[in-house]
Amino acid sequence: MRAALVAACLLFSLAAQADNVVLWHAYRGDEQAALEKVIEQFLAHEAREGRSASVEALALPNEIMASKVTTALTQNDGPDVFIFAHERIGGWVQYDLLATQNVALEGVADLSGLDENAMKAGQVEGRQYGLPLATKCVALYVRTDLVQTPPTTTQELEQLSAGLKQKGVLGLAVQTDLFYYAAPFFFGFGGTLLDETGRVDFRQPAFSGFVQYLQSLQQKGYIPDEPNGAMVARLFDEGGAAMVMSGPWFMSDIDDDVPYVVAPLPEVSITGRPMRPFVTVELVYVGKPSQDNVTAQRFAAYLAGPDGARVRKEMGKQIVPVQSLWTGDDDPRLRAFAAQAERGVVTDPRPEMRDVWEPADVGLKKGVRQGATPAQAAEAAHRRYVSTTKPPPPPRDPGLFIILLIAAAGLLLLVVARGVLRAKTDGTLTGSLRAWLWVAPAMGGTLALVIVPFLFALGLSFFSHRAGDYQFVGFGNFIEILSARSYAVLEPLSFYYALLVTIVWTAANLLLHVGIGLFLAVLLHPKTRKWRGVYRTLLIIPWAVPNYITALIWKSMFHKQLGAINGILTALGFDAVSWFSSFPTAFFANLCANAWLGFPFMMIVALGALQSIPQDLYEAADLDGASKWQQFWRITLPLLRPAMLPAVILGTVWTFNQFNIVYLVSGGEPDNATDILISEAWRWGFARREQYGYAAAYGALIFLLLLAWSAFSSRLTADKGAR
Amino acid sequence: MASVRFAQVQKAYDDVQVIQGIDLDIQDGEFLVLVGPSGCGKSTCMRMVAGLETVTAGDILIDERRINDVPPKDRGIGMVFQSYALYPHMTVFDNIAFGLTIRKMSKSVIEQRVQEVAETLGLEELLARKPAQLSGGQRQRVAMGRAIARQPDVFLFDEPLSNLDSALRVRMRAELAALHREHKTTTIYVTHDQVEAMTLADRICVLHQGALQQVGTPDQLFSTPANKFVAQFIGSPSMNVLGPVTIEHTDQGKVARHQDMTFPLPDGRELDGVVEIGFRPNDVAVADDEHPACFVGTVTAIERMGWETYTHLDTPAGTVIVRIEGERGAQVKLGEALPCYVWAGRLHLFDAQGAAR
Repeated sequence: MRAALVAACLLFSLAAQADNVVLWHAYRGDEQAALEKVIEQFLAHEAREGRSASVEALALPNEIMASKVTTALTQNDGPDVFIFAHERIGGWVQYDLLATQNVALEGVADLSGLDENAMKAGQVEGRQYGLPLATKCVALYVRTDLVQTPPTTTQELEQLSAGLKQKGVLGLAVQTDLFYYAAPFFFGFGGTLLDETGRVDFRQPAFSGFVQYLQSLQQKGYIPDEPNGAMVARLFDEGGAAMVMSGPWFMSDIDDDVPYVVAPLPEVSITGRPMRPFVTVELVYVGKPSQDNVTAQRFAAYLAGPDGARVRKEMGKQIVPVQSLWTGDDDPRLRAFAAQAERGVVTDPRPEMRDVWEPADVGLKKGVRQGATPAQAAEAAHRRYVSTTKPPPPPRDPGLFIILLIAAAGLLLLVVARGVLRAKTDGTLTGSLRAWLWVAPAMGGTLALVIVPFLFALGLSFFSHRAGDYQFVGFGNFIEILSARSYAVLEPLSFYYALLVTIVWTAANLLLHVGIGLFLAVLLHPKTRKWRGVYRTLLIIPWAVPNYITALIWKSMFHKQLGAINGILTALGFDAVSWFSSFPTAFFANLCANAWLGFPFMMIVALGALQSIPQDLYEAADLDGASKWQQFWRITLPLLRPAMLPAVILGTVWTFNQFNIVYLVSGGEPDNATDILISEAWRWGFARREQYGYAAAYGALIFLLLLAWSAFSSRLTADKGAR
Repeated sequence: MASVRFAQVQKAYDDVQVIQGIDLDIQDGEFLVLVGPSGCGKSTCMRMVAGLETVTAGDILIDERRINDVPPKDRGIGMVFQSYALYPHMTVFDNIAFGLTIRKMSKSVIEQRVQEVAETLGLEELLARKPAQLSGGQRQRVAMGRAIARQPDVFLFDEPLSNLDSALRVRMRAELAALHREHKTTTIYVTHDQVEAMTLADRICVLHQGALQQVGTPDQLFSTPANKFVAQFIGSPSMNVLGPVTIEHTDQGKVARHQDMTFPLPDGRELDGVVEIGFRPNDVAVADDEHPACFVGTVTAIERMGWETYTHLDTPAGTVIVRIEGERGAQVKLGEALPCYVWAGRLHLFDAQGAAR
């Protein structure tokens, strides 16, 4: 009886587990509709088979998908099935987050018709971890009203461009400062990326070769300066550019009345090689925790299989890697992408591939934006590559640290115990029990949200992290950071350079915040001022708007071709400035955005402080013969000090860690030169293969700096308080 | 040293006339006290002299120079504010020296001047302190020091003692008087406290509702007030005024009568139009055989001040306060019916407009 009960329970729980599948995806529009249709068909299919199942689809933004999946699966709390590009598969397998997929499931889908190369993108060391859904790669969009026959070689492309230039039309719009979009040229120049050991040589001739070629196109005026996605779309829509290199996602940006075709990328005439784009294969994965979830496995297979592929192709306009589905009746544009994908380079799924993008982008920007020679560009890429992929500090024996840690913990415990004991004996403990109860929620919150994460990060700074592997390295990270071995001391990425930038950044900002704030406060202070309340409200608005919105607005205002600031400059007869190409201008752009954000706070503080200065002091000063200017310097300013000083100290800390502005406005450009410590720390932690320990060490150093500053500044205020 | 003259000075804020056209001559070296109840315009008058308020109409002259449009710093004025208005972030030394440094005087002159002032006012030990570290009296002295240091022609004091406790006020009053005796600087002093006015002033100017009521020596104001307002404002406790009275001729001569209260009037006074009479609490005595009672009042309150007793009496004309000296005063009891006699020569007579007759 009991055995039967247990079995029933087990069955029930198994069935319950098998019933529901949670699916994460980043599809929108047609693709999402197609996915829902496939789910519907799958559920009907399962019902016919006599299996009960449900699929719960959750759409996430593409940008956060990878990190969200990684975190969730690590904590056993992830989706059963999720859809993402194949590029992260290597890392996820290393972290052991993926289930192997059973490709021989009976009666769900026949996977034999799937493209072999695409299938390979889902394999790691011979095991199938993901099934291919679609391929995505860049191809050539051509406006047929401007170009009759798509070019097959770069020579033809240049000839076309020369003709178009006469009409004031750009030949080719492409985001040349992003390696992903520019890579077809790189491969066309014979470039190679990861070798067997997972390293890249940016000093290969192909890199400088393709940079040089892009520079020549730029100089001839065939491709735009500083292009971004929105600009490329606009140029193509308005007929300002005849051709665009972009992927299938670009179709939705094109207006309906634009006549265009999609063609394969041309051949590079200098080398005689075809331009080959990166091919991304979109895979459907099953999370490791759902290894035994049969429905999850079946759903993944169904989605990738012929039935799912048909719907996704027809409804979702996906480039599905199932050759048998592509016929002459299909949209020639989609067929062109399918054909281009076969000639492309499947992005290396090894985690090392993620080290390639940043250095490649740095090199490219150096070449096409900052006017460096191709050799300098290649060298910049190489140096960045070496810096960001340097091996972690050597592991250390944690023995001594553990002893120290235990000693510290023991000491802390002792102090706490003594305090409690003393409080118990003199009765204050029971007396204050209620008080402790009242503050307990706040203490709990602080503990959970501040103290624990802080201690965790502090602990993390003594470890190195590579691919899910944590190694104890003692003070290795700190030594690495402080010795700044991989770069010159005053070069971007060096701690000291970032520190200097941060200090200059903070000082300049505070000068502007206090200066502008004080100036406006003095203007607004007199009670007789008309419209005083209106001005005051208007001037607080910059502060009331969320700062990332402000940051994005400023960033677009500083855009070279579309920004309002260059618009004004050119209207006044000046040359347009490429704001983010040099340190002073990029720094200035950041400064403008943050000054805009910061002055209202100082203005409000100053206004309050001004109101507390008695009027008769000014009357006395009038009688003493002080001019308004003297009164400001000798009475107003000194009396504002006590109120302004804490605001300035607070502002210092805020500005010191003003991540949003730096990250969103200049984004560290050029070459991370405008990065401050906190954004640099972020890059190490999240943009350079999760070097968490290194980033945590940065964080600890920032903390120490601010601790020293606050200790110093509290003495400053204490002195004033004693007067 | 300078004289100050108000010539038909008026002040209005928007439509509100606060000073109604004042004429006033202040002699060189004189100590003039502007006195009046709150809101009478006395501070405004002073601030117009200082240049902190504009003059709406009329002229203010210092040494016969019209100063309406002269900036405050060029009027030769030193002012002590009610709140002292010391610069809180400066030391006592810097506070006193501020006006001198602004005038770009040489360091040694400033040093010497501040030392002199500090000696005069007993501030030598306090020069390095900041205002927050001083007591009220010390701050008061620093404020005075600051005014003195510039060696002004005219001193202005705006209720300088009102923030001090009564003992300190008495002491500072004496110091102020001594200071004026020594320097003989023309001084305009605003207060609402008539004791201060009486003790300090060479002359007192009483203001009421922006209009000048009377200017005179303390004695003149006390003994021959120009009107009922001045009569009641000067002197403590206030003058008893009652009415309406009828003038009657009796066997003993002329008397003023109010209900069953009868006051013999002195001879030789113009009595036409007299409607009210007033007498100070001092000018009353308990009636005896020699001095028949003018009225009888019931004692409702007693303020014993030692040698003298202020007794509140309930009379047909309302409460009357009388001062009773010596042992008789000590014997007064609550509820006692007290027959009182008023010295005829001390009676004040007022017409319907309140003007003295």
